[in-house]
Amino acid sequence: MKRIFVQPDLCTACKTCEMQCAIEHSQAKNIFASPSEKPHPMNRVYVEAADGRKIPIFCRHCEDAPCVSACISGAMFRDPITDAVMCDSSRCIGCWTCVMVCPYGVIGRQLELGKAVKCDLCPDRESPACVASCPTKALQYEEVEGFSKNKRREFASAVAGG
Amino acid sequence: MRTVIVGASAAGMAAAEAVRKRDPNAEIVMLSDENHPPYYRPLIPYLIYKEKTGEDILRQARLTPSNLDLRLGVHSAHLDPKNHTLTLGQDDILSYDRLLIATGASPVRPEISGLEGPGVFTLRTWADADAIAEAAIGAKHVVILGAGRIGMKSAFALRHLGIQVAVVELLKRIVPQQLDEESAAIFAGTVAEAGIKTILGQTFKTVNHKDNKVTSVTLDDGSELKADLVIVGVGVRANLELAASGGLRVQHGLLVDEHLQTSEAHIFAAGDVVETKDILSGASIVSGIWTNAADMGRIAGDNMAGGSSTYEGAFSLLNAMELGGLPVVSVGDVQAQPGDGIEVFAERRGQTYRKLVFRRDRLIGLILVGQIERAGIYQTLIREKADVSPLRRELVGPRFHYGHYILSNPGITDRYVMAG
Repeated sequence: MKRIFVQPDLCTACKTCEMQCAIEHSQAKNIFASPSEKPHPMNRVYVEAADGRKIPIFCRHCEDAPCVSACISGAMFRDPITDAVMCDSSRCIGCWTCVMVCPYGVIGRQLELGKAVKCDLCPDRESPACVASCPTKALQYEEVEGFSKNKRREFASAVAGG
Repeated sequence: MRTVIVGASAAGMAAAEAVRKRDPNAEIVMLSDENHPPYYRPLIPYLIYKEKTGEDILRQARLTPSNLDLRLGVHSAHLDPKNHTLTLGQDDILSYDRLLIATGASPVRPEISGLEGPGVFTLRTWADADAIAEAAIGAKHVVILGAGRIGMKSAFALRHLGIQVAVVELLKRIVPQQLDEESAAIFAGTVAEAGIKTILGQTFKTVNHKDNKVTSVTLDDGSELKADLVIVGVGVRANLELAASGGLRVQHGLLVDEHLQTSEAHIFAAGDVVETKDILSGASIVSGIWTNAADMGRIAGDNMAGGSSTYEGAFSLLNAMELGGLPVVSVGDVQAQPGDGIEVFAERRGQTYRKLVFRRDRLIGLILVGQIERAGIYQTLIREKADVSPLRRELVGPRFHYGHYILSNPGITDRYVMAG
């Protein structure tokens, strides 16, 4: 089971991940053609800044995912193979219950379609578009088991220490 | 080990899933008194105007626990806790080792003359929605009692069919639980634009029938509204008959402890039937909210299969919806008045409204209209009773994000990194 891990101390807030995410989730998948598409391609990963520090905010694909449990239409589900939390657009009714319960605030609203959008870990790719495009390797796509405790500590101290 | 679950909606399904997660081989029998296979109850308004078919609202296999012994159209008539048995229908006996009562709730019909009989509907089940859809054929006027969620959803559904809709509400604003005056004023515009008439501060005096058909409704002030059908949406009451038949402790709902165990050790309860604590005030409440029901089901199921999960209590308000294209999220105590430790921040810009209610260092209530992005972070702060004093300035702004929360509270970074 692979997950995206973030190392904020390496993030420069260049937002390449946001842009590549939106392109990957477009029809053309092309930096020139995608931006003018309708519906407008949306990113599902976010880079935020506070007090001069940068923090990539990503879906954690939570174990007991509140969005799956709260979904009133059966749109949110866990992919049995990748274990990723997915949104089935055909089922989504745009009630935004998932937006109300996501603890990280990473479920977006595609307003033209009235559908929720979220990280799907780019099922068609070896490595998610955000990770593959990150120029500083602040994002890594790794097996949860292999992502050592040390690295987690590095993250924690990077946030705490500033 | 046989687990029997009475009820096949949010609470029952979440419980079955939790039991299955802990015990892949558990025998799980699920009983439903409805004839339809498990479906998403909140979607039934779409059946009225055929926006969705029955097939569209069914719970899919991927969201249903494996090896569920599902029995439809079965009425659980009597409970015998001493012998660990249920009587199904007339005289079928089903024994259980662990039982979950997730019998839900039923619509209340106030005692108003003529509010029974043909042409008067409630909206709780798939069958109810089908009945309204059929009655709506050829109907020109509908009058709805109650401007809560069900009343308004019904109103919009029937407007889609081109029917003239009037909604009568005793209180002075629409969706009164979920909205305050300011946000209700925003939605009053949306509702009026959709061609729905609202009559506030009034209730029905009588529903008038002729030749077995509804003809009109007379209001308190004596005015009369034409009606071919009437829908009643004034709340629900816990279905306590089964619990009471077994002598379980009940008040307004079925009483449980923090493990969602009833007064009988091997019987648990979850969902709209339960009387539990308000997570914020500690007051005793019966909640009719999907998200609470799913939470309770997960915890009760885990405990039935040998876990020891604790339920922290239900939100009296935890709703998101879109009415007439405008989204709203309401969480917690949104009606508290300033003073005595309560501070209220409210800001309206056109169709956008943000209201945050603080009690000392805690956030206890939220209404977001229009821009509802990242509402879940607020909801989490309310749920966890987090000290938000370091975040006050960011919280009231429209750009509050999870980064602010992490930086103000490095203790949660581990959770962010490790989650999943």
